[in-house]
Amino acid sequence: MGTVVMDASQAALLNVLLVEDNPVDARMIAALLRTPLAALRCSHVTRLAEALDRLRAAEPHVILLDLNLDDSCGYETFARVRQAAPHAAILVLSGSDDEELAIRTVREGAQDYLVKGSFDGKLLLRAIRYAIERKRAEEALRQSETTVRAIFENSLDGIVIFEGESGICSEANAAAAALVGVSREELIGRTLCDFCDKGFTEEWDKLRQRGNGRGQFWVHLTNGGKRLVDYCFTANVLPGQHLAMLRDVTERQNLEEQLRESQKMEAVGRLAGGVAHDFNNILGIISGHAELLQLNAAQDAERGRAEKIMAATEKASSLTRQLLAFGRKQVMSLKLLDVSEVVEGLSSMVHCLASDEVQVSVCAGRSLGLVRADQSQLEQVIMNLATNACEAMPEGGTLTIMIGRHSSAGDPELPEGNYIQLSVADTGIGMKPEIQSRIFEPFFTTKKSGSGLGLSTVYGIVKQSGGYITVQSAAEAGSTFNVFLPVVLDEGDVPCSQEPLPPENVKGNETVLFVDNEEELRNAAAEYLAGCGYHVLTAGDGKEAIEIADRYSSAIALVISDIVMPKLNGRGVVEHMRKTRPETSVLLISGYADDDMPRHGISLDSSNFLQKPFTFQALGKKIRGILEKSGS
Amino acid sequence: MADLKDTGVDLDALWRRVGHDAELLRELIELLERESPGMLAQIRSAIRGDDAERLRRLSHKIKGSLLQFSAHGAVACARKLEELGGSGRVAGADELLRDLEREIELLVRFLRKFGGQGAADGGPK
Repeated sequence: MGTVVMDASQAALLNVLLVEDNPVDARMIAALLRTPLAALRCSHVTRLAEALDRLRAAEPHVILLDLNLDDSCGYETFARVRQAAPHAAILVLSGSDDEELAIRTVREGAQDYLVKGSFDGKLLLRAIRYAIERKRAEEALRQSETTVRAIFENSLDGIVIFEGESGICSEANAAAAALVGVSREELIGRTLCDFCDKGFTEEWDKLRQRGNGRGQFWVHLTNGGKRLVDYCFTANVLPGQHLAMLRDVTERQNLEEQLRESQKMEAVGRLAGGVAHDFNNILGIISGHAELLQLNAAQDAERGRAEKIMAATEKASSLTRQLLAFGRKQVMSLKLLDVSEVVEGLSSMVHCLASDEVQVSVCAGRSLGLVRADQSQLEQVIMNLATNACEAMPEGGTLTIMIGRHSSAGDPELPEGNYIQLSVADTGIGMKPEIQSRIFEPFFTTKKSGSGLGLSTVYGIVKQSGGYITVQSAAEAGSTFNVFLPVVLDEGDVPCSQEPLPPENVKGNETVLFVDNEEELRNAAAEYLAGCGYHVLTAGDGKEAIEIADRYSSAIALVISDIVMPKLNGRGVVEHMRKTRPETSVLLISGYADDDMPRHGISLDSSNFLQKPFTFQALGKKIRGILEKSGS
Repeated sequence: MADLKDTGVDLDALWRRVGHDAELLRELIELLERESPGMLAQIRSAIRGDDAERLRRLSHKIKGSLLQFSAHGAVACARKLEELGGSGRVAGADELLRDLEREIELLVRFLRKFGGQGAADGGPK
């Protein structure tokens, strides 16, 4: 059959399949399609089987279909063709003016139903054009529906459709169901308020009156948990149907809380570090002068008083060391640690934590072996566990910290090996099993004002250090947290320190330059060092130190410099000395911890650092150690 | 034009449908002349075979062709046969078939005359 032209606006040639077994009808229809304006490529078959073969090979744009064929009859013919050509527009051409059949075929996907003899060529072409447009619109709608359905089904956010006034959920995606902790089937047929806190019901009613809005509500899960949900509500997206988009923001809320907490802790830490630094400087002056008093005392009573001042200064400096540790940035700095020593170092802080009603007992074994961990982190583990223990005993009790050695042999919970066991036990209110199972979860807390981060931090640090943590507890029977850290070096294997032991003799005759902006400390130290035989130069800041060094024509064996100073800091002094006097050794002193050196851009061995406050005896030994090492 | 009343053909509609194409009309008339005896023979065979469903289907088919010619008299006969077959009966079909044969004969005669002369003169006046 030839090609005929349909319409100049139909740019593409349209393929038409005519399925008609009556030759008169077929000839008539073919002739009707042959008008000067058509652009149709029409092919003709007389049987359904033949039509299906053609459709399997290629789907035409339009099918003109007679329903009564030799091998098929009525609606069945349409259904078979429709199935074989789901994307083609179908026009039924029938000899029956059968209203029921017409409606049925159109409802099931036919684009039109024409009765033979009732149309001419113009009408048929128009019907074809409309059928194609309707089919395209249907296809576009179908694709749009498929897209929307895919978005709905795969959205990570919850999407819920509610019915009119009742607010009953008629459609929900998997994310929405997961968000409220039920299956999709369980969610459909219920209202969102069934899963939320009571206050939300009123807000929900207002929302429906307003028409749209955004906000948050808490979802109560069947397992007792809670989720914070952001919602965006739009009323009447379809008549009588409301839409709510839901997003779980619990994690975000927790992270924000964590960030706020860490920012607060950082600020507190910075403040604590600053206070400790200034306090250390003052303690240095007190300690230095007490030491001079002791050295120069003519009577035992005077010497005894000076020693008491020095002992009190030592206690105070122990506290400031803890404050400095707290203020340190928590970057993991692994080193070999004796857990017993770390606990003993914290002992005074733990006693401060405990109320008068709590008795503190520390049982630290000796020579148990060394673990590899970050000291400040390990201190945080101990402090967090001790804090929790104290809080679990509001009526008083006993806090016991024990350090011992533990072998994994016979212990199925631990991988094979030897461990240092750090146990923190209290005689407090204890925990029920359901609480125990969640205590290491971030943000889980049973306290009214707790952040829920204490034990999760402990857990994180222990895992980071290659260790394990267990808890034993029962309601009203106290709790014991056991931390197991792998032994990486036994005490007998501890290598000798590379650093030569400082000589007991603190005497010397070299020239030293002492730089510190604390005049009292500077003068006391100079007096002490001069008493030891040194030729002492002093400077009140880095700039003055450089000027003195540049003017001084003889050798300077050692520069002892504070790090934080006005005008020019310790780094400036070190850099200048390296350039102008490379043979001069440097000893840095600071009221901050030794990790203060890298923060100030100073690269020096930690053996060239002395933390304030120090005794002059310790300063003297340190000086001799450095000078001996440098061969001065 | 005495036959016009007997056949019930709507000449205006037919002429419009063929797009005032006299050649097409002649071609269609030839097709009807050629195909109708065979179709009528098949209907007769269905009646003899007491096959009501086949009678319905074949009557429906010939009705479709007659509709194309706007031949209302012949269409009415074919429809009666179709309905009879649709009711599952063939009794009385012989008489209806004879009516249909007569209507088609008249129609063909009329169309041949119209297709040969009327159409050549520019269709119905």
